[in-house]
Amino acid sequence: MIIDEEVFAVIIAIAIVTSALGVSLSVLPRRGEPFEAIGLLNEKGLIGDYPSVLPANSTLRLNIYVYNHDGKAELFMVKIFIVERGILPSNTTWLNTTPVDTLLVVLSDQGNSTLPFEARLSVPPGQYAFVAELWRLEPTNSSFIYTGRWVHLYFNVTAPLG
Amino acid sequence: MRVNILLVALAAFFLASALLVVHPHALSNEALGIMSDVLGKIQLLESRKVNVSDYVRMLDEAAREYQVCARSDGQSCDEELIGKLQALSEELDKAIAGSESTYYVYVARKVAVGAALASIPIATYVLLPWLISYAWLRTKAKWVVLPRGGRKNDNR
Repeated sequence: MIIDEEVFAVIIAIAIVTSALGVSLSVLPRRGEPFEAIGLLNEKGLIGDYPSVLPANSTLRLNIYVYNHDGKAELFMVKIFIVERGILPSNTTWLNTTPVDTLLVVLSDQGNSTLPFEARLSVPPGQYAFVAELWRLEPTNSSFIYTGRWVHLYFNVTAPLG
Repeated sequence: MRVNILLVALAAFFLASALLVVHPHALSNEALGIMSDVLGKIQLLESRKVNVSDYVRMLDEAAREYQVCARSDGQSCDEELIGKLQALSEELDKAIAGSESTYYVYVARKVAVGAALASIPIATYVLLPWLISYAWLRTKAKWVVLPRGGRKNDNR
């Protein structure tokens, strides 16, 4: 043989490893852990610089970011609440009050969307919490299921201007 | 006195919550049912490796238009949504009917790629020595073989 047998064995070993890696990456299904995400963005659609003090009767403007990593298309509902400071959902329990608004969005796998939201704050001065919960439509039983994902923002409402 | 203040504060809070100027809306059971049906069909197509981005976009547009409608008048929004979803559902039924062949093509392509990749070590084992020998011969084809010492013993 023109090439050394040991060199040939190394080349064959590299070919076997490359082949196994190629088969596992291209043929076998890749199943990462499915998850969905919700994020809170400011009026300009950026992280940070959130409103903390707002006069009564002014408009609260925010953006909600939703990301789908479930491995399939999903229909999400974002339930928005404006509640007294301290009343928050958890990963397993949602707020048992009527939302002030709901936003619907359909996302393909690994898709994301930024949903604008605004509400006029006709509330007396005080401390409030903006809460957005992420719900997912379950097609098998035609109902929305709480994903356990939520975001919140505390803000103070002061006396109206003028 | 404190209890009174607390009660007034609570009453003010619940009143204020009711006064927030946003219009919440809820899908009717019929609309929710068709929406679930459409989403289920999209997910079925997706599992058969059909590109569903257009259907996702159409369902998303229908949902967004419904929200815009519900915020403005909220009367005939459900009917409009149901109409759009039914049309989309019919399109999806047609796509599902033709999706099996797409799935078989996908599986065949996967098998072909897998077989090609799996044959790399065998091909290397069989072809590499031949290729090296061939290359060796090609590169050395014009070489002139001389006896040790070159032309020293050439008597011409």
